[in-house]
Amino acid sequence: MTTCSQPADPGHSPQEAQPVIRIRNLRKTYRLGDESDVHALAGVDLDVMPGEHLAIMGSSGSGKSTLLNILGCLDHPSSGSYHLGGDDISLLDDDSLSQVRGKRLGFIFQSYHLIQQLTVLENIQMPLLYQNTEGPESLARCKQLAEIVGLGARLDHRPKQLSGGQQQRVAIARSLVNDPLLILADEPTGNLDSATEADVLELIDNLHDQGRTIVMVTHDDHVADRADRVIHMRDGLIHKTTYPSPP
Amino acid sequence: MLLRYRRTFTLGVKNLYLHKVRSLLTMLGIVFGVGSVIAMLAVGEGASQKASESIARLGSRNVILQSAEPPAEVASQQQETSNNIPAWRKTYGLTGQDIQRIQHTIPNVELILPETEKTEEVTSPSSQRRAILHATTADAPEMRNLAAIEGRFFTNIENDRAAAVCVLSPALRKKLFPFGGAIGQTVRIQADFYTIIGIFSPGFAGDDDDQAANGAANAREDIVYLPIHTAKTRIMRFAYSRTEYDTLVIRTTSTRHVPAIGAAIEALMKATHNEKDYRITVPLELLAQARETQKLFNIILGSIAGISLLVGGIGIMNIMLATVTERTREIGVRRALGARRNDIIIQFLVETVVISLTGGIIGVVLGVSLPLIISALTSVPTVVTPVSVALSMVISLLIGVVFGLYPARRAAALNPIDALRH
Repeated sequence: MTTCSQPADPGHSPQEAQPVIRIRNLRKTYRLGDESDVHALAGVDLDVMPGEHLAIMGSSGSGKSTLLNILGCLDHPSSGSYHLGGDDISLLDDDSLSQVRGKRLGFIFQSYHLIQQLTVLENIQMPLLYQNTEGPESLARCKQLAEIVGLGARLDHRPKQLSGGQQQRVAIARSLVNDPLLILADEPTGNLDSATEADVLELIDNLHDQGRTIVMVTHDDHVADRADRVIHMRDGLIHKTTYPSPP
Repeated sequence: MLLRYRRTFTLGVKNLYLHKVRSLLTMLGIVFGVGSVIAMLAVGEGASQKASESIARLGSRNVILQSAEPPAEVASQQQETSNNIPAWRKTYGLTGQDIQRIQHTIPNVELILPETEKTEEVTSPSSQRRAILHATTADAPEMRNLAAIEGRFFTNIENDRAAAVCVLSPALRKKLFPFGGAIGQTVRIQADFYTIIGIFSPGFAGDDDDQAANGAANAREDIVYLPIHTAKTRIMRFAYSRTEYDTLVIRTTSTRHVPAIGAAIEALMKATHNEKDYRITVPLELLAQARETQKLFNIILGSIAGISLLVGGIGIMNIMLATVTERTREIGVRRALGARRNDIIIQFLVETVVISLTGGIIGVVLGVSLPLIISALTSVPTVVTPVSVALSMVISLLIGVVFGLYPARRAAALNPIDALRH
């Protein structure tokens, strides 16, 4: 797929002017019965600039998960356009979407979603497995990432042998391994106690400081406060936008 | 690309290893399926080769004629026939005339070996035995695969001159002359003495085992070979026999003439004999028939074993479907991290193929060793053919692919969002 041939270099990119995410009039409609349609997204417009840290808040059913799924190329919008790094995503087929996910996106999930039978190192390598970019350099890079998230000594451990905070740090390392254009985090601290939460948020802040573009869904105000911009969703629309002042 | 498949492969093996018991139980179906296919075919092939061998021993270039009491006479044995000859005295079967006719009318006949047998008391200086007197010509060792143990067989000249010589089977020699040599000694049959000129074994390599296993065959061990002319001129029972020859073994110049000559002899016999007082056997035809029967037998055996392979395959599919459900979330994660549908399909196929191939290999080991055990414990001959091994390996591979495909496709068809939420 040619649209993915230019992996962005976040942070030092000269394309500062072009938004990473550009969404126009995005709608997602679920048809429940014959007549009743549920508008999970009812026409959302959103631009996310490179290096931005955006938080999405909202009660359940507000459409924030649907928005994140579409941003993560896991779901198709019913109508509207979605450009990721300048390329129109809404037209791609399933295989191409897989490729976009693998090459341009990094995922951090609430429940970590590590693969239990694999070691820390193998989990971090996982996205590369589907990109045919495995090699000695990438192995070194995976080790380096494990080092950065503080798990350099636990490469051969299985997820079960790690605490929740450690598992989430493995997931963060995994989300970085393909040098993604955009990191999507779905309540990354939702399952963690406050001490480890602080660690993980610190790590995410560091990523932001390195110029990574981050979109994070959260319930927590103090988590959202670390973002550059917070959008509040309600009934499938962006209800209000706030700009927390840096702590 | 290759590296990726290697990773997928090692992952598949690892996944199986993590669920050792389950994988092993799943494999068991294939193990026994493949094992029984190979073992069954081995038993079938063994039986087939044994049958072929015993037929081939009759000689694939030969056509065999045997005297047979005409059926009508069997029914009315006590009644007198129209010629006022009692039925029990009436001659029947193969005669010297038949030999003449065949030799003079049918081309490509190389040799005709006449044989006729009676049972008679044979006396040595130290012992007496009831033995089979087997009257034949000098061609017998070659035509009937008699093995020389000691001395020589009688010659055509001795036959023509009705010389009083004989050849003993090793078993009879042991009984009549337990101490010391037999060559040059004499035995008495009825009123005459016969000089022993040789010891010849009727045994074929394979037959010895059978005789050891089967006591009834011992009855055929005590044999005296006599020149046929000697027997007919010197021994009453041969002279006044109702049949001139028990058997004529007709050797053709080549196997490719056998069917035609067989038909020609049959026609000739039909035209010259009023009654059907003979039986014709063409070993080559028997062989073809035996092969045909064996083929059918093998197909039946093979399909029974094939059913167990099928059951093994269904077992694999069952387990893999359960595995897909169990690993839905893993599939979701992989999809989110960039795995295409095909990557997921391949991952699951690798697991089923590894299961079925490993099961296949263990099954081959089982299938090859089982016939050996069968052969060692019983006298059933078994032959493992490379074809059956290759065939069952290919089938087990196919089973992995075929029965793995449906679960794999189901895994790949999962929507990543739903899979992640699972």
